[in-house]
Amino acid sequence: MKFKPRSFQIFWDVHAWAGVVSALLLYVTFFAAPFALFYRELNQWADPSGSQSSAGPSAALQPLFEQLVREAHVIGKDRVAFMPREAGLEAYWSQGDREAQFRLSAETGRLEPLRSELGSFLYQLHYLGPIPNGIYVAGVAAVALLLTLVTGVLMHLKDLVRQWFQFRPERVTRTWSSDLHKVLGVFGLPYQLFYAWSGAVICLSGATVEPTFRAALFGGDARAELAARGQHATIEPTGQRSSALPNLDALVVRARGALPGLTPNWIGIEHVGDENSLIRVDGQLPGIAFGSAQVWLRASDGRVVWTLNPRNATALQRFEAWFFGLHYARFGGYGIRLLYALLAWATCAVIVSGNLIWLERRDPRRAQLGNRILERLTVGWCAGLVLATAGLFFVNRLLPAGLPQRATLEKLVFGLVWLLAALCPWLWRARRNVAGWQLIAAGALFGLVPVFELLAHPAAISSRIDRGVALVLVLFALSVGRVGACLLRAAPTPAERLSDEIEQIGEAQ
Amino acid sequence: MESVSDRQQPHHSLSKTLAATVGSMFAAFAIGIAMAAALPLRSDQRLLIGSYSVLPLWVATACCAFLAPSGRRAWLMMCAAAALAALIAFSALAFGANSWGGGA
Repeated sequence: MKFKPRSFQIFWDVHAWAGVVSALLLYVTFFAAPFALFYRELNQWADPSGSQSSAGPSAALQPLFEQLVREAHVIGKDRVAFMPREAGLEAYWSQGDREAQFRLSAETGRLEPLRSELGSFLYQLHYLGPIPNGIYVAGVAAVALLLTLVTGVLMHLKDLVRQWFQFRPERVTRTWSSDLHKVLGVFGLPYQLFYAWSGAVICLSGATVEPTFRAALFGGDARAELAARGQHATIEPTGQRSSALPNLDALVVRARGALPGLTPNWIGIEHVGDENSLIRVDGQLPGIAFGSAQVWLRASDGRVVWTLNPRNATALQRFEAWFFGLHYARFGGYGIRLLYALLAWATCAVIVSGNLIWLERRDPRRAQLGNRILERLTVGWCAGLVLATAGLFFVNRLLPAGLPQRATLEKLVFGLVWLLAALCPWLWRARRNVAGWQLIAAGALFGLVPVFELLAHPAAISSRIDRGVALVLVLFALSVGRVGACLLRAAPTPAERLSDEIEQIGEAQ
Repeated sequence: MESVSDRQQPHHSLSKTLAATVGSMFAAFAIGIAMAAALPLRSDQRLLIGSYSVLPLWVATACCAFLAPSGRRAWLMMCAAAALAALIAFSALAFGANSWGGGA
């Protein structure tokens, strides 16, 4: 299928502008995506006591809940939740925007506050959580990505198969960056299309689509809308205290009775201590793809008030189980999550090469101020983020375990390294070298983390998660270092450059 | 008089860009609501198609607006799509047989 020259030009312009405007934000979301997929493992790895405290998923919840009531004063909080997983049991309470996370220590049998939030922080970075209203900014960027992908596909419908395989790394920047952009873009297209759509829905739907549909179709009646969606209605606390605490372990048993085969992975108490308080037990049912199930019970008397059973779910409920299950990689285990991680980092390469194409095609000599700014921003922002993440991992292993405000310090180091790295391209002219050296430094830091761990805490590396993280960090260090070294390689000779120019003129004709 | 080469130019303008970013959003929401209200399907299926198609529709209508020959035409297209969708949604909600509890 071939479009008229005018339509092609329009798609080209929209693709380029939507891409360049959203590129830097999308780079952050896709770079952080693999860390978000493994954030629980990373939290455990990063917590100074976490590596050795992998208490299995079968701990009794009631003593832990009572501990939080006594020590963390959770009565009156919006929510307390327990997450029993293979990697250990985690818990948190939330009240408005505030939240505190805990991990079950196998040594003490008690919930200990998380002393590092490395995994959670990188997860938040995935949806631009650290900036105010970042989730909406990420949502708009996801819509821009969808527009970029659709226009990119429309432009290349006529030669999609050729773009799949054509990569000429020996050519000048303009050629190899264009090849890289198209090869990785076509390979990752289904992944990128799905993530652009699902990311936009996750970030924007709750604030835009749902309220609009509620107003237009249900006259503003939230309960009617939730009933149509097949979701449990939210409850309002009365402010009256309940006379006794709910028995969580007994309620989990009752939830299992309501949905035989349920394996709970999230147990939450809504409006803790209120007489209207509800207990929500989420889990999986065996033998059903994306078999997410829910049981809601009244905290006061343990009565089951609502269930979500995937065996008799509506089309909307099943669609959402698949849609969100695919986005959060709730299937296929570590293999699928590693594949997702590779595709996410390949998308980062698509994004950076897109900016490079913009610069090389529109202003190869960087004559315009806007393009000079774009080049410096792209280098400092993208290579700087890799370096800052390496700094975050490194400082996590460097800081003393008992240091107060450890988690805040880690984030501070991350921000500082990113800021300094972003400033470098404004100080040195050779931008490609700046990116190369920053990536090599990042590779060195990533590589030093397992070495440091082996020397400082040889016993800690015996755990499965520590070994896995160490292996991935070494591979990541080698990959990042290799990309940095490639960037530092000598530029193409004048003869190669001339040959490419002639070929491109020929292609254009 | 407009020449052939003029007609082949993209003619980007602020008005057309606004129609493609903001106007298309309103059109997409209206079409999504119309589908949720009027499609002859079960209520959960209508809600599924309507609500999950809004964001892809935003992109599709944005592409159409960008292809319009001028900003005014782009706004006309978006307004016409939104108005038609709103009319369908209103008719379905006011006079249609679709309800939010039962079947088609």
